[in-house]
Amino acid sequence: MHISDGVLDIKIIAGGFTAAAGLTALALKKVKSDDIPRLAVMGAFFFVSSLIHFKVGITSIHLTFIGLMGIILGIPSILAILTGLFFQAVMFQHGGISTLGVNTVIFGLPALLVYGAFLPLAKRWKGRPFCLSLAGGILAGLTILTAAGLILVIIRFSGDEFTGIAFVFSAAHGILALVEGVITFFILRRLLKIKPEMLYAYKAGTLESSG
Amino acid sequence: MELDQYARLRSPIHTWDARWKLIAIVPLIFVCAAVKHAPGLLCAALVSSTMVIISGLPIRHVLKILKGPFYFIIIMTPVLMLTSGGERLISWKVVSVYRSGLYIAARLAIKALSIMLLFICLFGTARFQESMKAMEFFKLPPILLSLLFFTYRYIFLYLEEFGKLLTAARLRGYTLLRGLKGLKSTVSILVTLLIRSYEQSERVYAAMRLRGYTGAFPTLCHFKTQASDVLKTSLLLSLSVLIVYMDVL
Repeated sequence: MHISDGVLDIKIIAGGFTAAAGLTALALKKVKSDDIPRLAVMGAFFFVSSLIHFKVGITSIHLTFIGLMGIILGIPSILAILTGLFFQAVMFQHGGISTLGVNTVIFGLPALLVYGAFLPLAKRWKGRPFCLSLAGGILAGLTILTAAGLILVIIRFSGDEFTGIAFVFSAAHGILALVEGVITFFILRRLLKIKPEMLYAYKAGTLESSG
Repeated sequence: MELDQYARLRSPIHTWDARWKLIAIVPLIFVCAAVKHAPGLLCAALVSSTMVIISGLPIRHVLKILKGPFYFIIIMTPVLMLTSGGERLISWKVVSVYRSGLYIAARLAIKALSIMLLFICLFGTARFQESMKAMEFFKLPPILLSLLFFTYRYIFLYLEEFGKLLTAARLRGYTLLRGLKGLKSTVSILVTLLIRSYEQSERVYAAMRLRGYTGAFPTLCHFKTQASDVLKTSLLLSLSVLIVYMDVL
């Protein structure tokens, strides 16, 4: 799901770092030092979840939980994604160092979109955990498709040579979107039952509606 | 799997001040990402491999790290040869093998491996705290630094916890992601992992606050610039310029 070192043109790499710096600055404005453990836990969860592979035909794909990150952390999810991607690149060589900025945008933007979409739903469906979990699952699935679409666009802008391969790999993400959507639905169902205060988007949405 | 497993070795790369090392290696990483032609690519490969040799890092350790990009390239090469377009090498019905695919795969391999080798030299030859301290020197926001530090710590906690949960699940006959039964156990393991780690992190953070943690990044390492640091940095920056020159020539 990540773009590796050596694939992108230097202009796209520079653009990726600029956009990621903008998103990071936005996230840093929303963060207090008390949020650090929560963000670090989710960054580590994002890292570890990439180790859960499952077979699809002759290849295997891994979970990402970008949607879940957006719902649990809100706008600061960008920071957890950035650090998670950094460690994935340096410890497991998933993705790349020069493409860290671009990958942060590919994962971070969809996470923000999910947060933005989940917030009004949490307000409307307060006390209806099944509907909320279902919406969260669908949004998480769509997140994967958005990220795959972003990869295609970025690679297309970077040059023609990798467009074919990008189409092949993006097609495989349809299955990942389905699996991640279903798993996110079940995780949200459990979290809304056991520890709803963990979900920032839920907390913010319900507080808004009661206030 | 630790980043700084071999940080205690003694080599010219290990003794290089982490701040100066950042100044020299980060631009070189971007130069490696930018090169397009054979002379520039070969120079980049030569410089990065020489750096790793000088660092004295065990070859098995370096190869283990390079395994990831290597597998990626092995998978990419045939797909690139079939999809890149351009001059055909072999054609059979609707399937064609393109010559340019091979060149693109070779370019991708050299760039990806060179960048990874440089990164091993940057973070594998200094203690993690030292590298963080160097980044702090370049005004990386303290929250981001603390986040990097905490995440690094939690990754190992998570992996340990994940291993325990997986063993417990296997002993009860459950497996990860195989059919609906597998899905149920996967979700249970992930939710338990998430909640346990979340609660543990809150307890750790509360304990740290009680001991006076304010968000600053305290370490025992202190930097002192020496003439050799400036010399090594100037040499590597000159090599970066040379690679760019060779590439545009």
